[in-house]
Amino acid sequence: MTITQILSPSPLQWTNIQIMLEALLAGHLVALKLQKRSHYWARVFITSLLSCIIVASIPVNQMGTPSVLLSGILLYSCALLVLTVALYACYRETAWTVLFCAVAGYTIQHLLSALNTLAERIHAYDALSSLFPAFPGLRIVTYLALLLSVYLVCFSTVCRPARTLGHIMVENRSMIVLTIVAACADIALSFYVFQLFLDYPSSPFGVVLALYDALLCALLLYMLFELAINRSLKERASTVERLLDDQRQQYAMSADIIERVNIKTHDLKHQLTVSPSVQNLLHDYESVYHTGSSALDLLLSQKHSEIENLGIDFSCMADGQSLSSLADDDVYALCGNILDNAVNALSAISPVSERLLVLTIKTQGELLLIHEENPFVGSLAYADGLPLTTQENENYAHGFGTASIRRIVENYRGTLYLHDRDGWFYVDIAIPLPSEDPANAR
Amino acid sequence: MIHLAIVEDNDATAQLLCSYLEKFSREQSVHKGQTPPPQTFTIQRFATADSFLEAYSQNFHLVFLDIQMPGTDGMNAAQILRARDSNVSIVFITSLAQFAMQGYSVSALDYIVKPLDYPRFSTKMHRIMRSLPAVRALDQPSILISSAGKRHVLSAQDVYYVHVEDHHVTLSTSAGTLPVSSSLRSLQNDCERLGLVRISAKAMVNYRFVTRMDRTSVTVLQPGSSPSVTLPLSRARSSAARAQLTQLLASGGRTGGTV
Repeated sequence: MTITQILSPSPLQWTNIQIMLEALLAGHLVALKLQKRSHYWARVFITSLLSCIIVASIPVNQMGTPSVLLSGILLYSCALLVLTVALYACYRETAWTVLFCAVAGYTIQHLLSALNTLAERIHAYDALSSLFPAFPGLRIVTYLALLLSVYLVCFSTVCRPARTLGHIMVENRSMIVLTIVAACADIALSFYVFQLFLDYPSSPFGVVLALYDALLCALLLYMLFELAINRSLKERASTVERLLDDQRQQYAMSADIIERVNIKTHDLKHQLTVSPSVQNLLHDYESVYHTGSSALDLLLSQKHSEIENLGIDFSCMADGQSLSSLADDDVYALCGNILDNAVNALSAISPVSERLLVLTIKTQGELLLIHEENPFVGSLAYADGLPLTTQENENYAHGFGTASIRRIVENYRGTLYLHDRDGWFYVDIAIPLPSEDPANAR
Repeated sequence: MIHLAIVEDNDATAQLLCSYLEKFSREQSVHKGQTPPPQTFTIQRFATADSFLEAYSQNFHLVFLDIQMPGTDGMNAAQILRARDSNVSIVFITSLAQFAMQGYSVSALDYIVKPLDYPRFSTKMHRIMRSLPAVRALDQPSILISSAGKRHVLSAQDVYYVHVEDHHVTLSTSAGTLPVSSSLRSLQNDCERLGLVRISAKAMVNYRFVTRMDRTSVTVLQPGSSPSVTLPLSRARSSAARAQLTQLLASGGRTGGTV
């Protein structure tokens, strides 16, 4: 293969370049939300150019010759490899995540080419051309329309749901194995179908095979993304669980310290030698919050200085007694997450005098009711009843905070309702309390 | 026009509060221009809780209630007030947040910690004003029901739940069980204005009387002699109905709006 051959490609080479460009577009579409490397667009341009040159320089044999089998395998595996490398050069992600995107992108491209072949087999293009003989470019336009619709459908059905759940995570062994199997199946399939078309150019099987090819691609795509979504959901759940564990542990430690300090405070107060100023200090220490729930008291006294320092006007009307049927560490984590979320949102509010936080905890009948409201900046979108993190760089704590809240509420068979209205965010929780024995009720 | 009562023994605090309210009202009307009628207040001041309770008439929308007062203190006064008027919004005034902690027991809207500064008062007042119309919209309307040839005017406090049994719609109310000839669908709008939530094809419940709720059922208390009733939550409506009830219950019906 000489330079001139690369610079003036044959029709078959043009086909290869076209396939490569389609695969690149699909691959970037899947990887859209991943961490981009610096000089992203330059990288995209250079890798795309290089990919096309590489693919164009793969020797292409005339159809029908025996060596077409070899060149077919070479072409398809090269295209996948080139796509993976190109994506890897553009995104700062693990090789496995990139491989996943490449395989998914490649499968999308293959779905497109299968549908294109199908359209050819049923003579859709010919029919269109004969209908509108005045437009010679109709074939290209139709093809572009097909491409656009296939990519759009793939993008909105499989890629988007995967993206809203955060980054695609391919850190699992079964996921990696599946990715490789899918990649191999895809390559073998492509080639086999290609070969069959060559052998039986006019048989009705051509239509069936193209249809089958398209269906298989769609199924493969669905499976890939379903697994990725499940994976990231599980990942999320375990993060929430870990976070909760941390908070529970923190509670156990804090409760222990507080108890010891309380004993000491009590001892000190009863020493007559303690000066009045220290007595006052001890009184202040003791009387920060008395809600009737030691876990809530502890939490409120811990959050006190943070809330005070941010100048937040904190209205708290809480019946700590009503929390008694919840485990102390759950109370600590539940209310802690609610307050942390609110404080987080309020710290962005200016002027400081508009930082208002209202928390109400009460009972009605056999229901524990928790209500919290605070103003916030910006707008919120919700997925599955939980607000999504708004800014890209915002830490995950907010998202996991509301997920932990729901986790605890659902553990007690309660209901959580989060919503916002006119710049205010509202948390409403109802948890059924253990039923009182009717015999002991009075 | 919003009717306000200030129950405060300290003249200086009462005066300061009045001046803040006037300033707030002025700012509101300047801010909003002419389109919505500017919110104006009528303010009545009482120096003790006892004189306030003695003179109390149900036309107050909002009461600022000092907690530490000679005679009946603010918290006790609020309890007496709440027993007479379940609609009025209560905002405590206190020198220590801790004293207002029990505000939940009288469904207080908020509290203000002395000393007052205007910017914070204004923020609070905005929230309070936002909460007021919702309460009034839910609590004030009453519906006219004709049952067995008799007409009944029912308010939000009167209707416990509505349900369909053998194709007959009955209202469980403070006036007893009332069978009506209209369909549940035709009653739905009226009932929603009263704060009832549709929980299945056959039942609507008033959140004020809900005492228990889980994934499959809602229990409604019928004040008076009758035992409480447990109604099934339909599977299709479960999550929306529970969200709506949770919001009404936890916020005391204040942050209204559709789910």
